[in-house]
Amino acid sequence: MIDVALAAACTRILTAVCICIGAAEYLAIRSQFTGSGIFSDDVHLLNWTRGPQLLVAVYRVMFSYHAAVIGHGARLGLALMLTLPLDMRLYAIILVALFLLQLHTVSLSAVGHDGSDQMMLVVMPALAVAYAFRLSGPCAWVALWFIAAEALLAYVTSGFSKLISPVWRSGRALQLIFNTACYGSPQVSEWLTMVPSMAFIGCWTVILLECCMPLVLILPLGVMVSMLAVAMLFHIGCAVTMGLNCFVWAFASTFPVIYVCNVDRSVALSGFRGINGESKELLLGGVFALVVVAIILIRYYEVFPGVRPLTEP
Amino acid sequence: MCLVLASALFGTWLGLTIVFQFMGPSPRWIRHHKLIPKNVIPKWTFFAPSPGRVDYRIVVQDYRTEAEPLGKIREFPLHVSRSAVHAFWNPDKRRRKAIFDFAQLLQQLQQERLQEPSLGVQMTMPYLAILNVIMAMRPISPGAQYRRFLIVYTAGFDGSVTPVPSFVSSFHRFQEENRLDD
Repeated sequence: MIDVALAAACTRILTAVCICIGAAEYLAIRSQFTGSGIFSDDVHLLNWTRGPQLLVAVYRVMFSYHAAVIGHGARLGLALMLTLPLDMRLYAIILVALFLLQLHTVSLSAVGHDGSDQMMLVVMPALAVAYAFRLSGPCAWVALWFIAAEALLAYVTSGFSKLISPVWRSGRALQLIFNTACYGSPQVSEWLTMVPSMAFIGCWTVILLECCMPLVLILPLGVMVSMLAVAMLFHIGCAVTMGLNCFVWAFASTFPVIYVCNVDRSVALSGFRGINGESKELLLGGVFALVVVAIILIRYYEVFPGVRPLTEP
Repeated sequence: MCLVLASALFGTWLGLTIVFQFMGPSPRWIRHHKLIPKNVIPKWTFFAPSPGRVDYRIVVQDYRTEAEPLGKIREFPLHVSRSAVHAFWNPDKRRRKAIFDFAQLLQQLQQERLQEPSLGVQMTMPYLAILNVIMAMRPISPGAQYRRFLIVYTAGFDGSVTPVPSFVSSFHRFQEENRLDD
């Protein structure tokens, strides 16, 4: 049986592996951050040239080639520290630093990133909060449930968007994807073309797996572990056939948390049952979140027909 | 108090994530909050609802004058064969994805320019980033003064899909210091 400490440790180490690989990969292509590289600071620093001189100067330093190399080096070093036996509060500090460095990485260039980078931006701050509260108490559990919720939201969103797609429902999507040089493989493409039924089965397997993933929170232990194992095999398959190597570590890092949210549901929710102080605080926080989301929807989107967003003149 | 802050923070984050799966950051949101990295609020639609089915390829031609092409049309090396190592170590995927994303953005900008001809594509980040890479591509044809690139999209390892021109650049003159490198 995995308890919350072991689950957090597994998540921490898998996160560290993902960050290490990502940082090392960026360092391997560091020549792309200068000169004639696609991420060259000669070009990307043109993003902001007018404004307060001090801020522009700070921007130019923060997003220069040297800052990029130092940033990725720091990510690598801090991620390696996460694998060491340290105090929980130190893990929290390291994770916050890694989160800020990850923000720097994705801000350096708006392109070239993938879902694993997004998942790390979600996992790291939440894990930091969990460690800051020493993996106990309602605050730590809110953070852990957030990780589980985001991970399962990723699966169900991806599955639902495939379910509504005629290309995916017809079974052609996998053959189309593998027929590209960017994410494809000539061997898999040829095989799927020769055996269209496998393409159909593959598409629907992915759709059903992703759409059903949220059920892992309520399924019996054996079924849950089986589903997580299938999901793991899916990510390994994507790594082998599509070169999406970081996805394996990024999404696997959420599995221990999902496991413990299922197994320790009673512990996770015990602080929130009944009308007590913790329930009220949780409710207050949730109401605040709803209000913020509603304000953003009304201010920036035409949510109600005929009602213009508040930013419109 | 800590629980209020934690639940408010993560509740807002999760709520916005749910909203943005269906709506995406609106142009107004992006204009008003340029400094908030969009990746903080993730988008979880992978290869759906429209799976990627094309490859973008960049071809380059050198010119003596704008009416006088030199040498052969060459392809910018972008795609590599899938290898077992890529399952563990694949650093070049980020460079390829960046060029792919920029090529896709250029195609979108081209479509927008059809509706709004005054829109200057040449000063956009995707154009400048690709131009920076293309102008450094070696060798330069002897006597060439200009270079131009064309982005095409295609698909299929069997070459069954005819490449479709997606974006044509302007003519760009070589800088003297770049030519001295040859």
